[in-house]
Amino acid sequence: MRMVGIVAAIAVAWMFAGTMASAQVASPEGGLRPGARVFLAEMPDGFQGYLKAAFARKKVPVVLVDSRDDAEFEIKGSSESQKASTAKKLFMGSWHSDEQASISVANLRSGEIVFAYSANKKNSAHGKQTTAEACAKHFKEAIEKKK
Amino acid sequence: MTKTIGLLCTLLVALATGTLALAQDTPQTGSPAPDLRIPRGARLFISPIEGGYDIYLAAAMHKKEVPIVIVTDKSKADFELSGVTESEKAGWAKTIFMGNTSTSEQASIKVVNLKSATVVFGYNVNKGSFARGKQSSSEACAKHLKEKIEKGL
Repeated sequence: MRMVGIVAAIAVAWMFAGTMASAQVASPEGGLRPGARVFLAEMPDGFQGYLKAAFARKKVPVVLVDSRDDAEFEIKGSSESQKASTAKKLFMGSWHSDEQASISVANLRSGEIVFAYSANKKNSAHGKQTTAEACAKHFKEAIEKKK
Repeated sequence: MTKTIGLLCTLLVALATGTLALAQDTPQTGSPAPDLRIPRGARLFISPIEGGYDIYLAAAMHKKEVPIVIVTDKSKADFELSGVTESEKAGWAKTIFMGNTSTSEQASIKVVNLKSATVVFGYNVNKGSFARGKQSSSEACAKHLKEKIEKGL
């Protein structure tokens, strides 16, 4: 009888531990979720401004905050534009710039990077807007996957 | 009883002597061989690189699903990645005669174990025409880092 009691207690403890473990595994990776508070850090060439506009246009489900202290996530980025050279304009008939950009999203509490994306667009019709919107679109997809 | 105790003592002495002899015979190699492995799930800090290349590397590792955790605080990291990169834009001759406006990319990275201060991984990439510039070179670095981690060497 005593043995039955001990076995039952162990079984209950095991089930409880398993539930706790699965609850931890089930929580969203890095805490990225709709409505998360995100801070856009200063970026070269004012790329953060393009990102802000892109987030609004693509309806990325995050709340942009002006202060890093209020944020749960911080987005850092880098952007580079290469204007069309004379040779490209004359011989290839293209005056559009080539754009590259990259962003990373870090969880400010854990310090882990939870999302990162690079965009590279040749002959970009809309310059930095194109790469910013590419970053915003993929960030939105990442958030919606982790719902 | 006395015989047994005596036998045991003799055995112990013999064992001790043998161990001592073996220790003396074995050459002193000094410090043990450094651990050059990067375990899965290791915490990696990417130090800032000129031109924001560290962010391209983070994106590349995310895309290539490199099995590590990238952290923004060096004190929380097990490894540190540092590197250099250089891009060369296509000149007029390349544009006109080759019809190619892609940039030439070079990059070099190294990964250091912060505990042992050992360089555990290094990689160079050099391509005359990369379709996607820094994104391509960073993905090449990430791909080879992933191979290194998965091989467990």
